[in-house]
Amino acid sequence: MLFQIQISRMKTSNVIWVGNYSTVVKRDPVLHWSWKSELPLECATHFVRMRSRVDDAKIPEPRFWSNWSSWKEADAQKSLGRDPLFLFPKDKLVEEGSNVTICYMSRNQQDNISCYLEGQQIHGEQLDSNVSAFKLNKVSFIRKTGTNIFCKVDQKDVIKGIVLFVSKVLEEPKDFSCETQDFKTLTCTWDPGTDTSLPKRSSQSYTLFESFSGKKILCEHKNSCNWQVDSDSQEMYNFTLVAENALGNRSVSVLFSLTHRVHPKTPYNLFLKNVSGTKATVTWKVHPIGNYSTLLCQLDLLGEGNVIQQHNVSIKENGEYLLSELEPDTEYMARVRCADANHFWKWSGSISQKFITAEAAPSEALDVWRNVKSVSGRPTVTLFWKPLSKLHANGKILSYNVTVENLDRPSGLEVHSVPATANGTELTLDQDSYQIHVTALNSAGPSPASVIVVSGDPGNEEVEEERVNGTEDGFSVSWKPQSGKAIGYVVEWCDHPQDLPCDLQWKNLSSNTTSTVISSGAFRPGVRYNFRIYEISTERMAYLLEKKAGYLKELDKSACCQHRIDNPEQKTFVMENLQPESVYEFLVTPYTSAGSGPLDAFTKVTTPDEYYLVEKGPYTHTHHPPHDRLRFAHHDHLLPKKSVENPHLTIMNVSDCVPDAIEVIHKPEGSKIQFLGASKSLTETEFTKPAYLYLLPAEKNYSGPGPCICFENLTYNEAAADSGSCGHFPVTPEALPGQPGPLTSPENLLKALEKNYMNSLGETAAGEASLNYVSQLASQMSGDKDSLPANPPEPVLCSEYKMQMAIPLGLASPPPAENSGLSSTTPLDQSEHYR
Amino acid sequence: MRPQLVQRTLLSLVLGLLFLSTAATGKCSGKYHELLQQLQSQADLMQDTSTLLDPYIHFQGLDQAGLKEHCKESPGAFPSEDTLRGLSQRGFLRTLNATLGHVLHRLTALQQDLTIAQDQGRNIRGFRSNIHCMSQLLRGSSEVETAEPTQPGPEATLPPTPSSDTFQHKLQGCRFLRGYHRFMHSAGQVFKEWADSRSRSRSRRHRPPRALQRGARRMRPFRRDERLMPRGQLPQ
Repeated sequence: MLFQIQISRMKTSNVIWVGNYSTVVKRDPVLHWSWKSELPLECATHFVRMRSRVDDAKIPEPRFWSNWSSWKEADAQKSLGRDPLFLFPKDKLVEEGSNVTICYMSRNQQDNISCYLEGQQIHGEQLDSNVSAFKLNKVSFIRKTGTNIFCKVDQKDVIKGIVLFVSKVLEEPKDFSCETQDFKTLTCTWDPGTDTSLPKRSSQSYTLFESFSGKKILCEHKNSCNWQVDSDSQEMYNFTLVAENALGNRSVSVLFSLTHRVHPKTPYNLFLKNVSGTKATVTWKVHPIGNYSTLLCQLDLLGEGNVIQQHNVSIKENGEYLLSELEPDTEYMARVRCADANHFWKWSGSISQKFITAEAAPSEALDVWRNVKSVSGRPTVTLFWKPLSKLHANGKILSYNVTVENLDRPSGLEVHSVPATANGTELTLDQDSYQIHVTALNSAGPSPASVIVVSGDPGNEEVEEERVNGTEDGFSVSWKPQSGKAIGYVVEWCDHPQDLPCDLQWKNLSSNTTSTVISSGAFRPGVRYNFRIYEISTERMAYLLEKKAGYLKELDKSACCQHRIDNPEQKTFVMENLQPESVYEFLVTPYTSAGSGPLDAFTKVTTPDEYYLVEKGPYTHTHHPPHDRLRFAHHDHLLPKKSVENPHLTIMNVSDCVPDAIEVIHKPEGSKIQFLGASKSLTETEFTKPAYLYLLPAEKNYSGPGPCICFENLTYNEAAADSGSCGHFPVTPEALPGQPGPLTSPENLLKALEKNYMNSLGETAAGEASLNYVSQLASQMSGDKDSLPANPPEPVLCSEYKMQMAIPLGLASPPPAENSGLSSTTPLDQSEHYR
Repeated sequence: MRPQLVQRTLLSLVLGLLFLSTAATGKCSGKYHELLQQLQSQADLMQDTSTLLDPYIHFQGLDQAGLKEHCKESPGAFPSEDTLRGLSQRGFLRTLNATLGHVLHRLTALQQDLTIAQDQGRNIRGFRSNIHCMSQLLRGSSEVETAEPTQPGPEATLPPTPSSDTFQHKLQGCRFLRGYHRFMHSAGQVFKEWADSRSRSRSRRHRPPRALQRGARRMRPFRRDERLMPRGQLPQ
């Protein structure tokens, strides 16, 4: 029979739906049919009627409809109570993204009603005088406890609401697959996606159905299910996984052959045995899979985290493989995983084991070099060698053996053992020739010997030095072979020629090489590097072939301690900014338009400890100190302290120097008489000649007056000067121009000091203090205070010291005690020098 | 806000377990003052809306304009503070115990939605253990036991929770918890008066003008129980 059904809303004439329903009508039939209204039935009266006709092909046309039934009314409103307001549907469960219609019904048409969705007012469609409907499109999930929708009667304490439970969309299970580890159980897994559970409503459930066997199980877990394999008879499986919740279901299927879904268990009992320096045997076991299955196992050998060997091994149950080509004393890791050999599906989990190969004797001879010098007339050989790389050491080096054999007078071998921490040793020999063997030892034995022959005769050292220019890549050094019998060459240099030890370096070159580029990360611009090229004879003796010297890059001359003196008549030069108690070397070489002359030997000078340099200069009759007589005496933060024992030129960068004290020299005419009268002459003193005396050729016919020196450190320009008794000298302010600029740079500081000094001299009356020396060093003159003039003529020629700190005026006023290092009003004595 | 909540929850959990343990071992503190202080502290903690009501409101999505104001305590759901004040000490304890019993019952339903309700349940059990101990202390000092009806708890006054109207259920839960916190606040006030009463009586002990003492006694609540307290243990 075919039934046609009509549904009306509010009134019978308002037909809102027409549909057909076909079914087989049996005897005494009670048919059920349902229709779901978008609008909650409580909000409006609905009417339904139907008619029918035969719907059977056996019955010939025409087939006529019956008459319509009478309208049946469905009025849920009648069952409601007397509340003033109702809201429907209550506790509806929908899937996220659905459209939902809600409605309210008010008992009193006069009431003004406002409705809210999660606090936001919503506006609906008025269905009749007291019913309104709201269509919510694509509702979203807000919280598990549901979306709150409520309506209120204005001006009354009436609130009615509903909770719309929005469930997350039930997803189709993803990555559904099944596999077996033992042909007994099939484990199916999947990604369930979003959980659709809500309070008091369970999450989705999963059912596994196998079509060939017709079996079905309810899965206990959300993402996996175990299926028992009954017998060997079923090879093919067709699984359908159905996810289901209150709102619907989703399914996914997979068809496979059981033997193609073998996922072996992780191998076990992985062991290393017979581990030597280069070989090791790996054994492991696997869980058997069925009776006939063969597993393909992959054996990886890892070194430092990288796979360096990979081997495939087919096994039934026990695996074994001999690893070879291993490095001695090296840590490796053996890692094994397996898969079905016939139908690869998935690798099993991996099992791994670390092991260390045994040590082997070092595989390479040491790279040895030597330095021969004469100590107390005896040749002393210093041997240097480079540590063996890990690749060649083949284990932990325990010590080095140095065997010395006298070639001229056969005698027993002399063997020296050198600790592993050393990379060289020193041997005192005689004038004979010696063959020296050096080997490195580890627990497995010695390395091949490195042989070197030395002789007490240093050979020809008188080799002319040539210049070599540095490039970005280093120094390009070339040489001319001499004997034609060389078995190789060695280029030798120091990475840090200023230091002791100078970090001797060498480079071995083959016999057919006549040039090379020497590069080093230690090379610095402005440093002179010396290279010595040796020829190695067939007797393994080294002969000096050539000497080269040069700079990687010569620094700007104004900015380093290489100074150009343009005046050919100038015979003196003041080297400034030297450190006390430091060793310096200098040389002077002429130059012409064609270039510099030969570099002569350096002269070594040592600056004394804590004293102040005084330069004697040409003096004017007006007692005005000449402009060029400001000199640095020493500085604390200048170049790094150097002990320049090495005969190499040291480049000092003046711009890097920050003076912390200066010396101002003034020598009025006649002061010499006064001064010399009060002290020994310079030549008579036992004072070590300070460096600048070497730098500044002494001018001993000094005839100026006694000095008066005032010092001031403007970086501590505290007003502590008033108490001093510094002597002052008339000065013409125009002698020096004003010097603007900050005092932060040495240059500015010097200029400012100069200006200050000059201004002070010019503006302050005699007897007043304006310039003050500030020093953190003890005066060296204290021991000679007795020699100071007891009653110096007026104006008092003096110097004044102050500590390098802010001193309260009251404390600064009185001069320090006589024996104090911070002497005051003291003319320079031994620390003042004349030329 | 959240760390505070966690801290409080943890605290209540610890306290709850502590008092549960006390009750389980059956050992009660015999020190009135100590017990009273504990009850006061627990009442202070339990009256704090951040322990239960605030999380509930947030969890149910009731923290919206237009809804909050409908989360008011239903009249008569819990005994008022005046009612509690009017009770004797033991009557008060009985009412407190019975009311909290009903609260526990209701919280069991809430536990499905709100995990912290479980923690509060433990706290209430611990509190009831202390009520039990206080009752024992008072009973031990009693010479005469006077029967007094227990004030109606929330179960008697609240309609059963409707099962099909979740919205109403949410609001009722909110109102219930609001009433609970208010009730615990009132209970805390009563305990505070107990403590104040003891302090006053101590100070009077040093200055015992009889007439004044009698007059004061007439003014103070719990007159009947005071008569029953052993000397030196309970307020005089």
